[in-house]
Amino acid sequence: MNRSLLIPAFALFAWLWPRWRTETWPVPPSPDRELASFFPERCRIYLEGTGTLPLLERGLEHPFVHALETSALGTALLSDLPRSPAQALAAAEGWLGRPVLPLIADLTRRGVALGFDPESKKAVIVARGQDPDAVAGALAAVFDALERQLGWPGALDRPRERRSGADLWALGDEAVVARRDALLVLGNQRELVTDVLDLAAEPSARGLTDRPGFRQQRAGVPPGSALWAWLELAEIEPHADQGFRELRAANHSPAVQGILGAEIGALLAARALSATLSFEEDRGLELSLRAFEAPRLVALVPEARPGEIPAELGADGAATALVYRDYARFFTQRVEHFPPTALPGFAEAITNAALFFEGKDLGEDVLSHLSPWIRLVSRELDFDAGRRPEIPLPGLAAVAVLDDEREGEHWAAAFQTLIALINVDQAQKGGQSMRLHLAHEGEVEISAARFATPVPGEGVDLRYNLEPALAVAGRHLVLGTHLSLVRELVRELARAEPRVPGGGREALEVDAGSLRALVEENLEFLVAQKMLEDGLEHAAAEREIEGLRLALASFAGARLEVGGTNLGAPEVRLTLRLARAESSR
Amino acid sequence: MTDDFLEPWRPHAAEWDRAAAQHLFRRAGFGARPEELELALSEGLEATLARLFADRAAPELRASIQPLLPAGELELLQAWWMALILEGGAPLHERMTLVWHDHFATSNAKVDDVRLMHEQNELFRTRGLGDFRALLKSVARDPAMLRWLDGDSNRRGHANENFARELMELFAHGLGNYGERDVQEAARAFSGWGISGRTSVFRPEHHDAGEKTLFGRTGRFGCDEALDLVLEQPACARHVACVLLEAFVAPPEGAWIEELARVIREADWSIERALRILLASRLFFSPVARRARIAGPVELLAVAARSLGARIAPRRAAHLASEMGQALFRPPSVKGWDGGRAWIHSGSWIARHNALVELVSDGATEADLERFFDSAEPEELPASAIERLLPEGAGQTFTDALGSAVRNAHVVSGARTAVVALVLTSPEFQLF
Repeated sequence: MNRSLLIPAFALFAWLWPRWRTETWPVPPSPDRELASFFPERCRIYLEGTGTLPLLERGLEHPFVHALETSALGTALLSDLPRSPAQALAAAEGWLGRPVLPLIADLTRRGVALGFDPESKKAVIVARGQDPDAVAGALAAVFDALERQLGWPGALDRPRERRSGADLWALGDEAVVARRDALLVLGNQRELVTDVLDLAAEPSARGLTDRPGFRQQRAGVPPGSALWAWLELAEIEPHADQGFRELRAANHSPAVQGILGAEIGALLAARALSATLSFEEDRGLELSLRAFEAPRLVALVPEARPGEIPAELGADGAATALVYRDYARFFTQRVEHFPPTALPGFAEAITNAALFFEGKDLGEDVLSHLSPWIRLVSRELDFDAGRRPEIPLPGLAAVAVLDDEREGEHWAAAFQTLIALINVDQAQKGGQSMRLHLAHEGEVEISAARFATPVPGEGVDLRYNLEPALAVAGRHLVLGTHLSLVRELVRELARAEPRVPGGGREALEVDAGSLRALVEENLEFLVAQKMLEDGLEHAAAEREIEGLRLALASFAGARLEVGGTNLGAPEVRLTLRLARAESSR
Repeated sequence: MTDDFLEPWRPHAAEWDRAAAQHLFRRAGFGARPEELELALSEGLEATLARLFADRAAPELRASIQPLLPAGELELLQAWWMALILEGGAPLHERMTLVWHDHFATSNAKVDDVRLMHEQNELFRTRGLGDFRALLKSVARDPAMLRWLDGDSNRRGHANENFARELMELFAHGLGNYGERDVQEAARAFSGWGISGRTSVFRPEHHDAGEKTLFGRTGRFGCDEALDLVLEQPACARHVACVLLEAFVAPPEGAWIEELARVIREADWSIERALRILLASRLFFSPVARRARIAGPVELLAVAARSLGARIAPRRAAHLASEMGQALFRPPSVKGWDGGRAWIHSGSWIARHNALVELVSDGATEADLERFFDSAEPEELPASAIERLLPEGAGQTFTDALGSAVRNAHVVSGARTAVVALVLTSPEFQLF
């Protein structure tokens, strides 16, 4: 061969070789590589099916799916559909020519995940099968079905292009499908799909796993969980609406800290959040949220100040909760924790409270004698004859621990002063006042107030749910919306002592049965309210409330736990328990 | 207008047009949905009047207030009434309820009891078209009114004249038709009536049973006898005539008042019979009555929503009406709402504008507007909107502005929204 031709030919070969090699013999991604490493970092929302395979393999026979399907809500929802799930799967099988769930299982045997770019509002799904031939066959089956439906036989036989060792097909204007061996990529933006393919072609690429905190959070996902999500809140924020930004800023809001607490407040403001969804046995569903780099107001988180936990109370009732709210530090450290705009409100509260607490400083002299652990109880009430409201609501009581029983007298005096002032205000408006009286439960004196007994036949208004009462039982301070509930709690507390906390976590337990009973008891009210709130006709409003009733009937209860992880980051765990089918009607 | 202005209007086929039908619906009810207007045009005046007087309100809607009353929430009561108005099942009943609510203006700001406000509202609804004498006597014993005008403190030897004074000045006669002595003596006659719980009661021990001289007549008058004397005075029928003319026609003129007062007396004080004559009269359909009133917030919102065939949540509608200056069950004083030009000021104009734009952008769906325009082409939208919403016509400048809005819109749905919003917020649309 002529040397003058050989040199340019060699140069051309050298220039082409890497491209040709990449196109012809790409290194397949390792089957053990983390799925998140295929996703570009701009995917600020990431959802991974960490345990979807058992669901796909067992389909409608999966215990949780079966329990959901046979629940009151499931039955009602399915009855509105033209086909049962089994019929729908059979129809899909007819369209596809193959059973659907096994096909999806083939495509996702080694994982499936979705990434969302909040800036472009585009998403990409990556599915990884085990056997490239099985994946190719499954994809071909889907393409065949599409071709048949659209009347374009053979249109998807050949890919439109190749990229990073993958075949690419365009479906319509936006959707792109790519396959490389057992890896399948589907997205609604070509650039996002090709970014994934490029990362897949690069063995050392780390993609999302390079994001701060990602690996740490992913490693904490318990085995057997079904779904795991990663939300990089700080990066989503610039592309989100005003409401989202306000939510992020709520950590320094006294209202959020006062109602939701320091842990949840920090959770909202965290740099990133990870969420795990797991099925527990056949009836439990657990969602846990864990924060990364959450700016906790450490002085307000549980156990920042020593304090006792109110004694355990009976678990019956609509809801029980144990929360940590250090209201003393709200006031004494208000300048450190809250924005200047909130400070006038604190000053006003301190001034007003001085009126009730003999001129004392609310933070320094009153709340500091109260343990920050508060137990909340909501139970159905026993109303006196002729005083049962037409819209009966459960009562609510708060129980806290005083460091000295004698402090209770100040609280009783404050309660009585408050009722007296409310009465003065009502008198000025010509409204009805409340009669202040003392009741006794054993040795315990209860300060209580009640409206005059309603005139028979003239209706008993909502306000009769309110018969406020305050008692000091030992060192327990009990404040409730109704005397009968406070009496009940005083009886229970007579046999119990506060306890010293040890790793206490905030928790809320809700009994769905009680809520369902509440909805059923006030059905007419809720339907009528829905009609006027949403402009619905009676039948439509009734359907919506029935949906709520069925949803409650489908669950036995819920538990929300809030606390710090051993990494010091806030964590929220919500557990929903499905009701047994026979008791859900 | 000649003297026979209360003679029936007998329109030629062409006269019973969209403008006439819409005028009737807006005044006697709260506007018409597009299909109701078409039906009226095909059925004619007589059948349309019969429909307006009928009560076809959905029983479920009317009953829906019962479970809500124990909540004691005024907003729910406001929303419920707004729902009845928007539904349009009993247009004239609801219109008269609003007229009497404004006339016998009672506010929950003082009554502070939603059940009592509802009871009074039902009184206006069930008796508003009946015998005015019976209505007046019921109002005098209505628990909300007794609380509002201090009936409880009207006792023998310590007469509280509030109700008696407002009765003469606002409810039955009008200034200049009674003397101070009449007020004092009527107050004595009403003494003893108060409330116990939520029920009106007569307490004989608090009643002044002595002789009173009222309008030149002397006797031991009680509540009913005093009210009979009030009703006997010629000023009373004239006052009621004024109320009806202001509500349904235009600021009244002397001759109209005398003539309608005569009709009211001849109708044995039946408001329905008087209205059947008034609403079918030449006067009602004459040019002086058309677009002669500035729409109040409640009617403005209801007419706009119904004309478009749009849905707005009743609670939201009641809230918007409050923001525009008409909070139902909370009139500003015993005189009711001033109405007329008082509806419009810098603050309320912005609120009206915002409410109407909200109605178009949120309340009316794309399908509503497409149906409203009957799939008209974009260039037809201005003319179509004017025909449907301003059947009396609009100026060329305004029509050009609508055309410009259509041209500036990128999509047909945007053009529809822009055109309707411009028409509803125009001063022309707000003259009923």
